[in-house]
Amino acid sequence: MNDVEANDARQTPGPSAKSKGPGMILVAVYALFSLSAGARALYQILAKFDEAPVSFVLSGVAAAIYVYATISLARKGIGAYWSAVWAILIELVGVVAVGIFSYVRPDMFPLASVWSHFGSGYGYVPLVLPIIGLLWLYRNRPGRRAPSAS
Amino acid sequence: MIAGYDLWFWIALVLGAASALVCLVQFLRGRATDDLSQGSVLILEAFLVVYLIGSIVMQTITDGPSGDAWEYYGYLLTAMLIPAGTFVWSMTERTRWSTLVLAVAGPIIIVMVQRMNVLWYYY
Repeated sequence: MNDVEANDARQTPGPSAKSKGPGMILVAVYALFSLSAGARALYQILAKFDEAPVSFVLSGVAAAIYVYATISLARKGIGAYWSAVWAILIELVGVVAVGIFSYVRPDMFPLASVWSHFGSGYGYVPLVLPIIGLLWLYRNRPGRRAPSAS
Repeated sequence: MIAGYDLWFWIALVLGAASALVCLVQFLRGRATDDLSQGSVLILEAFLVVYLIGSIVMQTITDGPSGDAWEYYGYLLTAMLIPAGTFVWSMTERTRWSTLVLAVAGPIIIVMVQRMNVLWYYY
């Protein structure tokens, strides 16, 4: 246990550490959402697009943002860091906007998408995930030095 | 059928819970991925392969899912990607955090097989 922790501590926080250690879990959850949102959007758009085009286009957009965020989180480098920040900011705006709209104008969202009702169909994880993501990115922000700085 | 779910679901529940428990304990012990945690996820994958074959057999001898067959097999194929994906990742990154990633596969498989049961019998 001790040498494992020493291993973790040796990793300097920073943009390339964002997919290491606990960051792996974040990448895993994003990958999972990419997969489930993507598979669901694909099925909805191919099999029953006419029933709720707005919901299904939104499902597709959400899936694309999850895929982009997953790749940005997993890649190293300063460019990938800022890509991840933007992707997750857009994701946060998206889930809040779609969440509000699905309560105000339920007629526009006859069938559920990932983000409708703040992601209640997915245990509100879609709402919490971007917040955790941004906090994690802030923790590993560029220029951050040794862990003792925390 | 027990409590409205078939044997597939109950097997998935036992295997998924066991796998999650094994991986979680190994993570808490600070273990990097090993035969125990990776093996438990491979067992899940093997179960899903059998489930896919079983579903095709059930499809030919019964009327198939009462819900949309495309959705059913979409769920099944998506589910099969999860243990496979976490396993491949755990091969490239052998840390205790990989063990925690492996722990995620079991609960997700349980949820997905539950939804597949609903699609097959009740939709």
